[in-house]
Amino acid sequence: MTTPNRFQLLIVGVLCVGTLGVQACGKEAPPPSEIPTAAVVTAEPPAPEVGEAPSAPIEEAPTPTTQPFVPSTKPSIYDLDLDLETQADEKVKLNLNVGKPVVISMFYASCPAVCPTLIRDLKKIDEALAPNIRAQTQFLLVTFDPVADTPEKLRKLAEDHGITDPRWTFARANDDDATRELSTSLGIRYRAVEDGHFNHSTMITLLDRAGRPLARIDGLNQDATALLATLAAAP
Amino acid sequence: MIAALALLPLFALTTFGPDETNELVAEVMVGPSSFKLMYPAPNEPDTVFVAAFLFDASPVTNAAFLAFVRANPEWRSDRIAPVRADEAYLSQWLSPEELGPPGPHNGPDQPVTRVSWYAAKAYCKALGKRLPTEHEWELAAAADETRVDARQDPEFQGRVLTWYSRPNSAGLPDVGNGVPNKWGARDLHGLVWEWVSDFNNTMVTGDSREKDSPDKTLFCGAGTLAAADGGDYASFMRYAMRSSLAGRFTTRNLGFRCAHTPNTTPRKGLERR
Repeated sequence: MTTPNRFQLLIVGVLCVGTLGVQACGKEAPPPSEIPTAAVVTAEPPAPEVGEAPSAPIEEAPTPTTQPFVPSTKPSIYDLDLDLETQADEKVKLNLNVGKPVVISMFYASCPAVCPTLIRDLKKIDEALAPNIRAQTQFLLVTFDPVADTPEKLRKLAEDHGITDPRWTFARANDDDATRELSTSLGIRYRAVEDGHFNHSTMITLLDRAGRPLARIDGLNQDATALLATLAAAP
Repeated sequence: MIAALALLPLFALTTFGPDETNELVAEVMVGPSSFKLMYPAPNEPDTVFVAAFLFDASPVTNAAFLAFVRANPEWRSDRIAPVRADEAYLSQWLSPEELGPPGPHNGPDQPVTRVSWYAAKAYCKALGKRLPTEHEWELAAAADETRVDARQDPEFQGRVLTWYSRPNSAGLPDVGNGVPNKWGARDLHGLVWEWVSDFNNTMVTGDSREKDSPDKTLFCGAGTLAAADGGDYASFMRYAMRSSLAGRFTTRNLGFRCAHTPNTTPRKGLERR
């Protein structure tokens, strides 16, 4: 990924429109509540593309937090009221872990490179937790591909990664529509491409006990210190 | 209105709304067509096939959306879950179930705006329809009055860009006043921006996050040239706009219309629960 392809150039162009202004985009600044035409605001922090090279390996243990805990002001994603089906063939709701902190992300089982790295990142987070926090913290991974990723396939994926801990749930939503509702609420972008694969952004989100996002990590191989500290400080 | 509808090349009529609105909303058939993408993603071909779909001829109005809200009170502005819409949702209305005296954005025949992606999707679903995909919307919007794909025409691009550049602080026109395009669809340009089902399908690269990149100036200049067709800045603006949205956003110039696949039958009207 050293040579920008034209899609990258497009997106860079998007960001630059806001910086430089473009003649075709009008001279008056729109009201804040209006979609800017000249200044295109990035609503969701951009996430790295699939296959991005590792940049900040997680090596050091998290430093103990000294900051006061800041409650989430974000909406609870549990209000989406989505149905999930787990690797254990169980029908559950998105809020199956309500009352406990949840680390949530999205993936798909046949993903060649990114998703194994994502699972490794999540395991590192899990292993870095103090025992009392770890006992409570739940991990929820929802697939982009609810058709191909049957409970059986999700079960095999968990086995392949040596994950048997009941705190970990691999799940699929009912259909593509519900899957996109979830990804939208988390700010995860994806599209189906050919051969059953997906282009997707990678994001790990920490939800509080009520399903409100507290912290998140964009991309793979990122420093998890802040997320771990938030989780440790969360009531 | 009826006379104008008769001129449409292909259309279907659906009774819409339970009581207060009984207007006829036309659907037009768009496609099937191959469609050249302005911004194909990595691993995506430059040209996609878009199957035929039925498309609302004009955007959804305040009156029609009000009928939906009355029939589905969980979508009232005072009851909607915050994850599904921000605080400005339907704030142009007098109250959760009243449009109020006509103002710049709350007229019954004006396009409904300040609706989130979740709300737009729910509205279409209540009618047995769905939001159009980005490919579908762009195919429909590529046409001018006489051609299926007018994107190469500087005159067409200029018209679209003129609208994009015009501050729309004034009131919105009513829907249906635009001239039908080749497919018979109106108001795709010049009224409101519109939601699509997969608005957030676009990856943003890690490179683009580096705001202090020394290559920024270079990339800025190259931004529009990166498109498959370097001249179509109007399409570029739409893809850029969509990539800036989150699902719960509502703004006063973002509305929607519905689509459905031809072999599915939309419901005749909204039923109260």
